[in-house]
Amino acid sequence: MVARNLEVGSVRIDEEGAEALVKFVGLLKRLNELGLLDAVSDILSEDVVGGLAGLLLNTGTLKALDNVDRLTGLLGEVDYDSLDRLGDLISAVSSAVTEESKPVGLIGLATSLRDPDIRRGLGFTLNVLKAVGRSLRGAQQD
Amino acid sequence: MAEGGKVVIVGGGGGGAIAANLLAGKFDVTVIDRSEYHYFQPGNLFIAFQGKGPTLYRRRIADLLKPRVDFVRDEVASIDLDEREVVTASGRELNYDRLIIAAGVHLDYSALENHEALLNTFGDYYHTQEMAVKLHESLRGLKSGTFVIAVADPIYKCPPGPLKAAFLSRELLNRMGRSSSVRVVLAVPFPHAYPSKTVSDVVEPELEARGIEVRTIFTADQIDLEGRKIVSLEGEELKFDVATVVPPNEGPKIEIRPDAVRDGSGFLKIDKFTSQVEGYDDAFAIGDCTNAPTSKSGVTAHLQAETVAKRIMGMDARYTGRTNCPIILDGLGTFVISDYEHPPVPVRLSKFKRFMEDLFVAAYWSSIRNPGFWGPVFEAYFRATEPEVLERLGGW
Repeated sequence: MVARNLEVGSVRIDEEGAEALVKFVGLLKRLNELGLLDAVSDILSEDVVGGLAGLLLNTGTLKALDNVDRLTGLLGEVDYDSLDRLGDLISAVSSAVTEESKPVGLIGLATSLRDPDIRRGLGFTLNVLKAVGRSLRGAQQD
Repeated sequence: MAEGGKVVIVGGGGGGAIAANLLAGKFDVTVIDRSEYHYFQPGNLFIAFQGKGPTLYRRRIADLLKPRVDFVRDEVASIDLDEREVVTASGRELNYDRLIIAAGVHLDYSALENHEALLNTFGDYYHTQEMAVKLHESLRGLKSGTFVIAVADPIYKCPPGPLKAAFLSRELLNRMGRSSSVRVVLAVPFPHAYPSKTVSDVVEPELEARGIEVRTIFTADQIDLEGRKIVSLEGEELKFDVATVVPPNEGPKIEIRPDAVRDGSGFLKIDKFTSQVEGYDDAFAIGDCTNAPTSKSGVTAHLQAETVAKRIMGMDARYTGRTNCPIILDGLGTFVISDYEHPPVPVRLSKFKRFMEDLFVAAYWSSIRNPGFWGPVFEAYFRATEPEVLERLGGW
């Protein structure tokens, strides 16, 4: 049974307030059972909060956060269906970065074109170049 | 009794209360203030232009100070730096080992003829909460005509204050359906809307987009209340229906001996890095009452209070002159970020900065009461946004 019109110090707590208080005490008991009250109390120390602030508040994050509306707008335009293939592409490029490469001249390039993978890659690159050009044309017209 | 000795702090505003709470327990700290309340002064803008309730922006000083700080509610009549003595209006004498003067500015409404009458007629967003409420009522009553925001002297606390007043009043008038019937005119003594050209370049397009008229190089000099016009030092006239003028700011109205520690406007002459009063290693001045060549703002008072508290505790702290004055308009915000070595850097208007400013306001009372807890958080922010770093990146 919830107490009616409880008085705490000079504050008068009505029925609705008392009900909220009882629920709040229940929540506190649960947090205490789980040891979370102790954890939260320890986390709210100058050292931990200061350390967290030092980690999160840096020039890079503040600059990114300042543009968070633009960044999320950009995320909305991503074609998520192409992400899997883009992921494969990124991992393939990453492993190519670690492979040793040799300088190649015009003759070497012509020889390489016999390789079907290089021909497929070239086709893809031309596609990308076309898309980039199209996008630049749009931006210049704006 | 604490081992460190006696620290007397004149003024329980932002700077005074933060210094007191940082030194509490380590020294015998006494804060003296004539007011029962500490006012969050930017709150006057929200009272005047958003109709917010005054109680949101004030707290009892005694409640903001740590239990071990002694609060004396009295007016300080005189300070003798050689005798290390503070005397209050009621005749109480307090001696100190260290003194911090955080007494704010005196707003001089008597310098311009009719200024007090103008204040009492329309209200104001600098004077008091009562006057901010009055200004809100004046604007609600203004069905058509011109609202003028003017400035009487280029040195005044909260440099973005008039700009914020212009943006927020335009917003209020638009909300009341008076976007075309009431003009808002901002008149400033500078060649641009704001003293810094870099900041002006950010805000001027926004003023223009909202139809706020800006009169530059207009230093309010005469107020003709009957004729409803303000005449500038430069000889121009501005007609108004409702007007508010930022008054000349002076040093605090306290007798301080020797007089040589004050400049011509009554501001305490200090070392700009250590806040030490010129010629005295046991006396400091912080916040609006000093002659430090930086903005008179809450951030300055806050950072100087931290510096002085650290120095009194034997550390070698220095204030860099860092400012972080917010400028807010509907949904957007920016900060005036500078220090002694760097003029304001370009800081674009964004939703995030407006959110940050709202967070600062929400954390205000907690940061005054628990400056030790908030110190590392603010330090991380200030380090991340150092003018030198932002300048190198082309701004923020």
